[in-house]
Amino acid sequence: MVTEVRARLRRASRLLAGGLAAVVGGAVSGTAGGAQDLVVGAGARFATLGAAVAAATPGATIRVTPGRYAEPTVVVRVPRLTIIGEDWPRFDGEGAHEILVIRADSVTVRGLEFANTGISQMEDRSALRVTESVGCVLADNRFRDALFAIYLERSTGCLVRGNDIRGTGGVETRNGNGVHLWYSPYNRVEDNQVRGQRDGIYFEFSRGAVASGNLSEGNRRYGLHFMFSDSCRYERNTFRDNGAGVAVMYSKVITMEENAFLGADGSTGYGLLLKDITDGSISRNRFEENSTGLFLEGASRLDIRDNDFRRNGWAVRLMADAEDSRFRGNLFAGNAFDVSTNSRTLRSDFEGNWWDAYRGYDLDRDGTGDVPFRPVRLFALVVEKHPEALLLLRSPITSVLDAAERVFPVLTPALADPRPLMRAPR
Amino acid sequence: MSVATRALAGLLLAASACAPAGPRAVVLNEDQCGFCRMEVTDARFASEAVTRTGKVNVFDSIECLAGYARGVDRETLHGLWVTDADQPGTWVPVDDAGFLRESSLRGPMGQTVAFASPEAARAAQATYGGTLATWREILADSVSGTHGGH
Repeated sequence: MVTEVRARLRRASRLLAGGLAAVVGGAVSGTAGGAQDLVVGAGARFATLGAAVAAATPGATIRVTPGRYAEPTVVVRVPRLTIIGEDWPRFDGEGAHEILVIRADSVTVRGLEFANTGISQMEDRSALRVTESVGCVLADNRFRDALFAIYLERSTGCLVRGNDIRGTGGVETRNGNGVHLWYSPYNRVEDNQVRGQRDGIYFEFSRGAVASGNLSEGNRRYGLHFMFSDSCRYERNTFRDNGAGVAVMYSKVITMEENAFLGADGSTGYGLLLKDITDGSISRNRFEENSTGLFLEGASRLDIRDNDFRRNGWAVRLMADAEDSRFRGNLFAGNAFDVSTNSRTLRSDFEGNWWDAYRGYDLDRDGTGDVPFRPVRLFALVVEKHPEALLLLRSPITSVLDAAERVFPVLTPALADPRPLMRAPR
Repeated sequence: MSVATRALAGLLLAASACAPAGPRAVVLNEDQCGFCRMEVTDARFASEAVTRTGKVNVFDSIECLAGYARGVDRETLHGLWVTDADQPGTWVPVDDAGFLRESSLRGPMGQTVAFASPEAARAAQATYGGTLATWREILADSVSGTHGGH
């Protein structure tokens, strides 16, 4: 299994390297005079991008001069084409159709603005679609009011970098995703900004994907979404004010590092929602001001280390079927509930975390408390079974429960941190 | 604030859910799928199960409705409904509906979509491709059938 994944990754990286080399090679030969250099614009040889693409041969460079272009969907079937916009020429779908479809390998699209695809109830209409292609580069483009902005289907080894995507933000009407990968393994999505879409970035049936350095903000559903996509990695992204920050579902071996999960504060607001995943790692992330910071359901064998949970409603909610996860070196501060569960018997293990609610002591001065910390409040158990009870969060009854469980810690689950840190690790 | 509102809404729902009725309208971008926990954002694929005690479970996809239905005792169910993709907002009992699989229509959890009748599904097949199926066939699928090729 692992060797198969490695072999696939190696193959993908070769594809990616090959694609990039082909693109660079094409650009160099274009400027050297070997390949075509076509210009699109008012007064130029080609009035439309479609006309230039029809005339292009493999390796050609098409330069699009500033202006507004409204033309039927352009389909690229010529490999190694480079399309470069000068000062973001605006391609307008006039509310009626897709704008650019790539059906050729090693095509680069850079510096264009795509606008106004309109909404389709039945098709996943996309401003820029890549179909069954390898090694394409989509960089530094702008997208405004597209149903889907960038859609890769059955394509691999592509790079999606530095694009600025702003969706309609529509609540009532149908809304699509910013960057969508569908059956598209081994692609990279880097340094993009996505706002006002349904999901900012969505990996669906797409293994081996990498998302890094993206800002995903104010999207209706998820900032980043994995579905049936194994062996992916996401790092150094910021997810802010989305319905939920990130959802990882039905996927294995996902690496999640140094991300910020901020402000998912709706009634179903999760910083990070895990559903049926195994063998991932979650380290050095920040979870701040979410209704729930980290939610685990059907999640097992996760390494959860050195994360900061601050000012969340629930920092961590572990459902009964979450098991064998390890929490180490995490910091819990200012959360209404540090850990909650709907089960009395927890099969995850906490050790060496820092809890602002810990009231213990360290007589042997080894840096860890001499009495365990039990992060699950009895009241949290009540709320898991009866959500309406949350109305009593600040009531005297709750204080009595808190006091009772400190004296008789037999009611709450066995979950305890046997070696809580005395000083905050960060 | 929102938490308190939600709690009150929950109390009201509990109070009003006395007898099993039919399916209720889905609140897009609010309702959460009872199986996969995704928010329901696409009306074309919304599905519902109502239990004999009147509890309504909302699902974002036909795959999730099937996943739920496989896991519960049929005796506890009042009924199962899917959306007519030609007319989102219109419920169709699963046994009356016609289904299309692996067409060009992509749902939240795969490519299963429902129509008002087998005839309507056949008509849609002319446009979107795919293969026809009945609810019985969808239910008989293994769970991995929803993973589309894994």
